[in-house]
Amino acid sequence: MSLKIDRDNNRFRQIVRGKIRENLRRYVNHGEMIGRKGRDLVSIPLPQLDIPHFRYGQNGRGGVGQGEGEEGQPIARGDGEGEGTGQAGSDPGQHIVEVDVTLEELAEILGSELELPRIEPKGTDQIQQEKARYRSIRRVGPESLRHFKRTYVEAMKRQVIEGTYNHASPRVIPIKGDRRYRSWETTPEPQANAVIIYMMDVSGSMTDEQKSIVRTEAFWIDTWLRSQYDGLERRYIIHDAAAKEVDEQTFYHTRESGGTRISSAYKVCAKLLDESFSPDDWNIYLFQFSDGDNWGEDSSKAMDLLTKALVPRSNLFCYGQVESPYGSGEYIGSLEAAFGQTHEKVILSEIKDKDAIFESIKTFLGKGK
Amino acid sequence: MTIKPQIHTELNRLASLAATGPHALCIDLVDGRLEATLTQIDPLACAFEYFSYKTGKLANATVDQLKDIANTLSTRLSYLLESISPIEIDDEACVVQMRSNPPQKDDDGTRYYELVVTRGELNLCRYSRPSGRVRRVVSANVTREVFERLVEDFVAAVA
Repeated sequence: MSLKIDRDNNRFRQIVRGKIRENLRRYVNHGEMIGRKGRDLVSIPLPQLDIPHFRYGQNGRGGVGQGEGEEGQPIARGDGEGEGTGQAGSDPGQHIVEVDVTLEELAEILGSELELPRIEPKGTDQIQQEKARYRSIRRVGPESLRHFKRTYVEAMKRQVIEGTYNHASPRVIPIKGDRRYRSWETTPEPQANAVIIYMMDVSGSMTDEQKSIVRTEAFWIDTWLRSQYDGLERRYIIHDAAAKEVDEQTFYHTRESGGTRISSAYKVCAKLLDESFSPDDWNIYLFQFSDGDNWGEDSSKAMDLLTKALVPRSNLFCYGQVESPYGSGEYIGSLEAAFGQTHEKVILSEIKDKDAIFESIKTFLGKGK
Repeated sequence: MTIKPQIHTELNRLASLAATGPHALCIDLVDGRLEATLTQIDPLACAFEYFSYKTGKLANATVDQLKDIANTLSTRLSYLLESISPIEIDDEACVVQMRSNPPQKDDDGTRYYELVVTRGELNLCRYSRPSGRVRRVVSANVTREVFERLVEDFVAAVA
């Protein structure tokens, strides 16, 4: 039987989800919950949520009139009237409530609002992942995992064997040797795995604003793909004239002053795929972000690598061209020339500013690959 | 003969051919060669799409030397529409790319100078990039006095 509070809680969560849906575009575009992300939860600020509150009555503020009274005498209205001290503020009050939402819920909302098709993982689930499950019992372990029922059963068995168990007065007192603890077993389970490789141009022409756009977009891509795959790996590659693999923190906070050679990032990416992610076992997603500047004759070299080494091995290759103060914006033209606008695996998106992130995510993930 | 009279004479000569170009301006200087494509010349001003100073002095320059030249130019070229500073430095190819910092932005998009310092050449162009479209070279309008000073500063930066 469900408790009343469960129903209230469900209703509250429905309201929260409704509010998130209403404001999703704003959350997506402005990345308000990034930085508030926990391992499995994100805190979302909801400015217009009406929280239930007590409504005070009129106690002590006059009431039913008594006695004769005089004509024109008002019924009491509480304490004295008059002007208070200080002035009213001119700004609206802030009523921001933060609610925790699981990444799974967030992905579901994103998927339904953007009408994203569910992804069909390619190939079979060949990767064996070790999973720990608490389904065995041991004689030793931490007290926090003590299995009380088993411990008392053991104590009872011992007392019965020893002849100290009294049916009339069934007291079971465990001793140290009776204690039993929950323990885990690891079992290999097949699962569909995916790897996302992010590549970003960090040359002098990419400013912090562009990187912030990339970060917001990557957060939503992660959230969606995480909901579609059991195991999701993320790798990060930055490049200017040279490329290297870095961690997530470095990826978003590095600015180099070097030139721009996109092919250098493709080389590192191809090497990473060779060494760690076979396309037979992994669903491979490649996301590249740049301002479209590429030096010299590098575009033809980059196109060659992309055509031969990256696109055939990936589920999707997504290129997001972020508009920067300088970016020549020419690279997307080269990609269009090489792959066309309706390529099955190559998806191109121009992100003019933060407001374009929403549509860009839809473009990238709308294929259901 | 100093640089200014040489340029003055050549501009007058090209202007006498036709006011609107394109005109190819080529002047051999002491340590190098000035090449420019002028789209307009009149008695007071001119417009160029391509401006390059080629010199053998930079043939074996290291990237640090090119950086020094870029910094010198950044200080000297204070009279253009926007100040110019190094944006990208490619150690491998030995190239320093300088651009207007900040670029000029308005409703029509972004406009900026791009000055590329490479081994053997300094090259200046002005670009326009309408929002959401590919950039293209546009004419940079300067007075004749500014044009002459530009040449002098390029030569001085390499010297």
